[in-house]
Amino acid sequence: MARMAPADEDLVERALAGSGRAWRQLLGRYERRLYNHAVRLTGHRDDAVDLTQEILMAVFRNLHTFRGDCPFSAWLFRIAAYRCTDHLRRRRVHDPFDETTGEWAGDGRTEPEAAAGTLRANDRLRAALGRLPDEQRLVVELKFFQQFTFEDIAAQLGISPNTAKTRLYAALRKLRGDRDIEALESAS
Amino acid sequence: MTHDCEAVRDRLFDLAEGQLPAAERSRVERELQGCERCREDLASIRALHRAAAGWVDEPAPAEVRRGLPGSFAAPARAPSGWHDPWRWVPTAAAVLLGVLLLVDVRIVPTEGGLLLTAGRPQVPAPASLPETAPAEPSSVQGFLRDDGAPVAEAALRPASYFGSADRSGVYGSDGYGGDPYGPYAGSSARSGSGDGSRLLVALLREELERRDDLAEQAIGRLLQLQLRQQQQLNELARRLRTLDTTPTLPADPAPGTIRITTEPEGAPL
Repeated sequence: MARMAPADEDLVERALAGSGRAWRQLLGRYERRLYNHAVRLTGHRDDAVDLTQEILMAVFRNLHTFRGDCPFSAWLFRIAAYRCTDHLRRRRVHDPFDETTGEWAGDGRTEPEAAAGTLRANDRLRAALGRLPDEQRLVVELKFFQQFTFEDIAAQLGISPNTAKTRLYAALRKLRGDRDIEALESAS
Repeated sequence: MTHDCEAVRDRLFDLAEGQLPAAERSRVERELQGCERCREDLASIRALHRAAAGWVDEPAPAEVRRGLPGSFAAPARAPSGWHDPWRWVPTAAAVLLGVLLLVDVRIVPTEGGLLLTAGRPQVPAPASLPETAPAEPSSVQGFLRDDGAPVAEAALRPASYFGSADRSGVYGSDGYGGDPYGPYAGSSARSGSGDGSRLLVALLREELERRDDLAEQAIGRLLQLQLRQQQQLNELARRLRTLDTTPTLPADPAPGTIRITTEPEGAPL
């Protein structure tokens, strides 16, 4: 019989008790998800590495404040949302997104990787999301990629659920007819 | 019935994800027939759902863990601020070090092990020291018994790796006493935090002894220099007392000349 994976909350408890294994297991469970979250939000892999580092460091510093009154993932993404908002605000000074062409600046991807079909699909999605304002992109990310409820999103971003909905529907209307989303649709 | 876009919008995600009960689903779909904008929103939601499902997670580079500790240390859970006892450790250590320096506490190696003493050790006065020389400005008398032994002392039992024959001390009881090389060798079977701390204590003791020797040598040189200077001062004082400043006239001075003598003839300088 397969062993059940320990719950996040158990891993947190054990990590705080000094278990390096539990802490690394927790990291392994979320670092990929957080990195991809950061790639979609920043549109740039180097920025995503920096942002993921910031998030993980913030989680490390604040883990002892986790009370278990909400799912660990919700607590984690609340920290991530705060870090993302801060990161995007700072990055506006040198945003790689070119508003005239609606394209992200290159991020050093090698040609063989760029030729891979799945990564090209990811790039299209990144490009489409990159054309959204930061606050709308964040709501789209949390709703469509992290599957949070509007109430969760509102709590994470410090806004009301209605504001979260308004931002999301504004983003949907912006993406309607987007060439990259349409390309993805036709490809599927 | 009027169409309520707000009410429909609240249900569109559930509808797109197939989460609505059948009756509710029928009602929302009827609503959608009369509102093109709501239908477009539903189409956008479904399109973005498909696009999101097509995202292929990229592996996280190893750099994302850069700077992260591999595990939590005990203080990670402790509350921050001055209530945190760990934050007092550096201050307490600094104060303790200051007190030790003020009272001149030192660890002195002896034949039987190590001795913790307070105050400076008594330095025997050189035989050539004149009686008029000032006493050594030291508080050492207050810390020594008549026979010169320090009053405040704590015996640190000798460890086998200090070369002592006494193996009944602290380290002999757990097996280190019988090891001719001590924890420096043959301790792999007992590896652990105990070995590490004992090794650290041994190294610290050796370093303390080395520095103590250096300090004693330096103090000895300073005292010798001070004594030599005191002897010179005494000699000068003695000569000053015998200095004759009375002007003496030659018994048969030449007319028109006066000779003043401030030093007795033949007196060495």
